[in-house]
This record gives sequence, structure tokens and C-alpha cells, in this order.
Amino acid sequence: MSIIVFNDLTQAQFDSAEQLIISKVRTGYPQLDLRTGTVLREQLIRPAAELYALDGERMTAIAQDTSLLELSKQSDPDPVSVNAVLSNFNMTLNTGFSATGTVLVRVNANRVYTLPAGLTFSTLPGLKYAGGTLTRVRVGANTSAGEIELRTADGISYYFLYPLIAAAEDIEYNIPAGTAMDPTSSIYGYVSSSAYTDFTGGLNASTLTEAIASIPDALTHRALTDRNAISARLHGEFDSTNTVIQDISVQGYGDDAQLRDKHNLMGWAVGARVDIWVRTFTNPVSTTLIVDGTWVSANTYQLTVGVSDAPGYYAVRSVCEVDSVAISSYPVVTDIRTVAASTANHDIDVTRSPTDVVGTVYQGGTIVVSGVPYADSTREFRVDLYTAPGLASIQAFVDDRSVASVGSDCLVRCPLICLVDVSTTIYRKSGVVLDVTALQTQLINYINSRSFTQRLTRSELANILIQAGASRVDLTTTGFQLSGRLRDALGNWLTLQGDVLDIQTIFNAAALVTPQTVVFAAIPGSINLTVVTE
Amino acid sequence: MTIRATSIDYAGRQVDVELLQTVVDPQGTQEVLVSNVATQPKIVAGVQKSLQRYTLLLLTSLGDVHFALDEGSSLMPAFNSGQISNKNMLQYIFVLANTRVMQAIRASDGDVETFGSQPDDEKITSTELSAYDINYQTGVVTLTIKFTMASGSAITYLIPVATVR
Repeated sequence: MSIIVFNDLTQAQFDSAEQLIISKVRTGYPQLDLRTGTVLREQLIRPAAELYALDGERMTAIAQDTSLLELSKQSDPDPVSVNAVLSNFNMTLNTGFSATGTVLVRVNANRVYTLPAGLTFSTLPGLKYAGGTLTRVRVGANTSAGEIELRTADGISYYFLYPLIAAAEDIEYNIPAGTAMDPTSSIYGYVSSSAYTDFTGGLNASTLTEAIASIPDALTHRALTDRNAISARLHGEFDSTNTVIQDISVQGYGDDAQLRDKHNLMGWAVGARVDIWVRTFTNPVSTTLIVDGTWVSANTYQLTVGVSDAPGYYAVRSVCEVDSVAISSYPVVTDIRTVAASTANHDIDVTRSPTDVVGTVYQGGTIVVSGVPYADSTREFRVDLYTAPGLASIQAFVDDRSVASVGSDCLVRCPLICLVDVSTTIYRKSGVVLDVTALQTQLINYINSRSFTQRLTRSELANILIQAGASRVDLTTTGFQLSGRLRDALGNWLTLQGDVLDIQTIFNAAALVTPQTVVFAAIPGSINLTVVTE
Repeated sequence: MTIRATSIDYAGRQVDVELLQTVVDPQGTQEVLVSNVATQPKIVAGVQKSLQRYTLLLLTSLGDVHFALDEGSSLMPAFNSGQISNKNMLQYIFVLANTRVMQAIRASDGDVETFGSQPDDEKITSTELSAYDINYQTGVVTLTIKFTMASGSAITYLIPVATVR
């Protein structure tokens, strides 16, 4: 908060103060001559008016700096003042996070490459990402010393994987794998480069409006005893981190998707089990792993995903060759989840309910893929898995003895993701410009905001297109195709299509498919719009 | 003109704090000095208040008063900048300064709603620079100003007093 001094006062502020003081003094002491040029006016009234105006402005500034509502009206509120007020609610303003990921760089020969500190890569729109310290890349790299392995699939072309961090804390730096990226300075032997993984974790600083909206959660009591309290506790802990909790669904005693409290002979619900389904992503996020696969039969390999490799992963997005960046995949034959870690604190009994471990941080995965045109006994594969970032941190938090409920077993889960595809024809009047990319982004953003709701309808999406300037939308069955697919907790892929994607139509509590466990999501490329001029 | 000195006729008068030296006997030409306002404060009304007010505005430099940059006159800035090199220039500068001061006084006096009305013997109708001299050795400028009040010859001179009535 800056200090207001006399020079900060305006003529209008002084005049107002002076008129007020003259009026007050004349009312109380009408025999005092306060005209211009009198000693009383020049030596008494004028200094008093300046001090009164100064005090008034300082009081106004204090009131503004201690009111979140007034701070939110400022174009650039002082973050120190904001956090000073928020501290009264045990909150701080999220200052934002930079997206991180890995770029695949192809080079033309087997040699030692030296990457300078802060080597920067840029996307076509100009988003910049920087590397770390001075790094050497070579075959047989000493990774413990920070060197990067120079890889080859065929002994002819070579590549390496270089971690990058976004230049700014902004959500727009979250880009999908496969995005073209070019170095801003030359690399000897450079051929090409692109994003090897999704760049994720980028987050804008919280706005004051968002902080004000979360105050009710901050004031809620903090025990993990009811839905509001659980939501408040998790938001309070993670809102200032790069684990963004977009939505929470709590399944407890009596809820359809709560099976863990029925581990008894009669299958009756006995309570004391809470499943916390947390959406920690807006766009679906995938974790990229390089996994050793074991040959099991002709063209078939088996891969193992460890418990800490991708905690609580939802489903396999793709399995392909290590140097592949395209979203193509060998056919996934099976994806079996097992209990891969001690669950001493939690009731997870897959013999009674096979779904107990699915989507939790205690699951491991065994993936079998076919169609691999090689016969190596072991082979590296690139594996992309849909995950909920931060799940392990959230589970560790609710397990903390100082936080954990003494009466309930709280288990954190990755939600079931219904991946939505949209294909439609929209019409525009002659002269009206429709930005197709912007429309696709609007639809993706809307779909990704739909969490733990039962339905997603064509009319909701059509309304967005109309509001954006389309004159009409083809809502015929073939003109507007809406579909979604999700993997239930038993490993079956289910498909929805039609005018409404209604989770209730595929309701299956035994497979944990309920409106309270499913979120809708869309990825870039899943929205296909055809624009016709009328 | 007969001026009768009195200290009792403050009833109904608006008062100011004395700034110039107390003039007990108002007869004849008086030399005025800044009085000991802090140690011996007195209140003034009537002619002395008006003359004091005029003098304060005349000797205040334009632009010196924060939030009242147009208050004062150009007389002192002219002296300080060496602009007055002869008596003719002194008379010229005085006329300009006097006009400005009288305009300010009349503007303030005209706001009867805020400040109330004035008796005639406090209203300066005109001023005249009756004598002026420059002592180049001591650097002292002497101005003799004749004031004409609205009451004409019937002026009651109120001697500054130490207590508020």
C-alpha cells in the first residue's frame, strides 16, 4: 500500500475539504471572518483543509486496501494488500505456475551435443519454453550427472528428450503432445523437434474475483466429515499449488458408487468409507512413460505400469514406438489393474469388489498390446496414460494423521472420463465471419467444464455456436453427431451417442459408472465443424 | 476626517487575528510591523482588519500558496527578480498588483451567503498610491497607500483586543 502525501491531493479534494471546514466553523463561530486574505483563512482554515483532505484520502485508501470488494475493482490490485486481507481467511492468492513437458529433438548423427543453459524452444504462435543448465547429450549418457541419453531406433536417425519449462505462468502454455516446436538458437545437427509429452501444469495467477468466490470454502469447518467440508479442505490445501481441483464428487454411505463399505457377508452398506473423485484437469491430461515391454507371443508385448509411474491412471491413451509423437497406437488387448502397493490404511478388497483399486494411487497396470512388428525379447515403448495430476499428493494429504478423519476411510480416485467427439455443420450469413478455431475452443472449454453431471446435450453445444454468431446449426441426426466413450472400472469401453449423452443410460454401480463418478471431456481434434455460407 | 478609536464596538462584527502591529492611535500616518501574534494574540475588526487583509494579499507572491496558486500579487516577485529598476516601474507594478488584490477581495466579499455581510467601514472602495520611494542604499521600498472605505469619513477604528467578544 503506497503512502499518500500532500502532493497526491488534487485541487478538487482540497476545495471540498476547505468548503466543509468553512461551513462547520461558520456554523459554530459566525463571528470569525474567514474571507480570502484574512489571517484565520490563511493560517488556520487552509492548513486544516489540507490535513483534513490528506486524512480523508488515507482513510479511503485504507478502506479500499482492506476490502476485497474494493480491491477487486482496481485494475491492478497490490498483491501484498490482497494477501494481507486473505490471510484473515487463512488463504493466499495463487501466483500461477509454469507448464512443464518434454520436447523430442531429432538430430542427424551420433555425436556429443552440448545444449547451452536456457536453450529455448518456441511454438508457431510464439509460446516459448526454456531448458535448464548446460547439458550434454550423447550415447551412453551419465544421467546421474545430468546428461541426456542420445537415442536411436534404427541406428541411422537419432533423437533425445529434453525437458522444458514454459517462459510464463499461463494456462495457454499447456499444449498437446505433437505440437511443433523449434529452437530459437541453432543446434548443430538439428533436424526437427516437437512436443513429446503434453505440456501441463500451466496456470494463471488467481484473480481476486476467484479468491473472493472461494472464501465460503475457506470459512467452512475443515474436518473431512461431509461433502462441503471435504471440498473446503482440499481447496484450501491445493488452491495455492499447481494441483488445480476443478471439481469434487464424494461418494459415501448410501451412495451408488460406494462399494467398499459392503465388504461383508450380506453385502450391506455399513458406512465409514468415503471415495473422493477429484477432477484435477480441465483438458484431459496424459502422462508419458517409456516402458520396457516383454515379448509374450507373436507381435504381442506385455508392459507393466508401476504404482508410482502414473498414480491412479484412468485409461491407456496410446502405446507406440518411443520416438513416435503422433497419436497412433498399437491395439491395446488388455489393461488390467491390480493392487500394487500396501493399502494398510484403506479397505481395498479386490476379491469382493474388483473395482476397489481402480483409479486410486494403489493401482498398478498390466497392459498387453498387439500388432508390434518386432520380435525383440524386450523392447521400449512410449505409453501415454490419461491421468489426474496431483492424485498422489491429494491422497497423501487426506491420509495425513493430522488431517485424516478418525471415523472414515477416505480414498481418492481419478474420475471416469467420457471422451466426447462432436461433428456438425454450422451455417453463417454472407458477410459474417466465424472463427472455426475459436468455436472449437469454446466447445472444448464448455465440455471440459462439465463434471459429475448426468447429461451433455446437443442443444447445449448448439446454443454455444448460435451465441458465437452461427445463423443456425444442423441438428439432424446426421448433421450433428455427438458421441462419447468411457472405460468403466471393470475395463469395458462403453459408447454413448445421440441427442443426449446421458450417463444414467449406462448406469452400472458395480462398474462404478454413475453420474457422480463420470466427467465429460474433450481434446483438441475431437471437435469437427463444417461451415456453410447461406 | 475624524477617526474615533474604540475597543468596545465589536458587537456584530466579524473578527480576525491581528497580524500587523497594534495601532493604538490611528491618527496620521502609521508605520506597521508584524506583531507578536504567537505571544500576544489579539483580534481585530473594522478598518485594521481590512487593511491587514489587503496587505497580506498584496505581499503574498502569486503561486506561493498551495491549492491557491492565483492568490496574491506580482509585487514581491517583481521585487525579488529585480524587475523594478525605477519609480515608474514601481508604480506600474503596483497598479497591476493592486488591481488583482482588489478583485480577490471583492470576489470574496461578494459571497455573502458563505461569509456574511460586511459593515461599510470594512469595505475598501478604492486605493491610491499616494507616495512611494526606493532607498537604493538600504534596498527598502516605501509605499504610502490611501484607502477609501465605503463609509466615507465616518470610520470607527477598533483597537485590537486580547479577548473574543
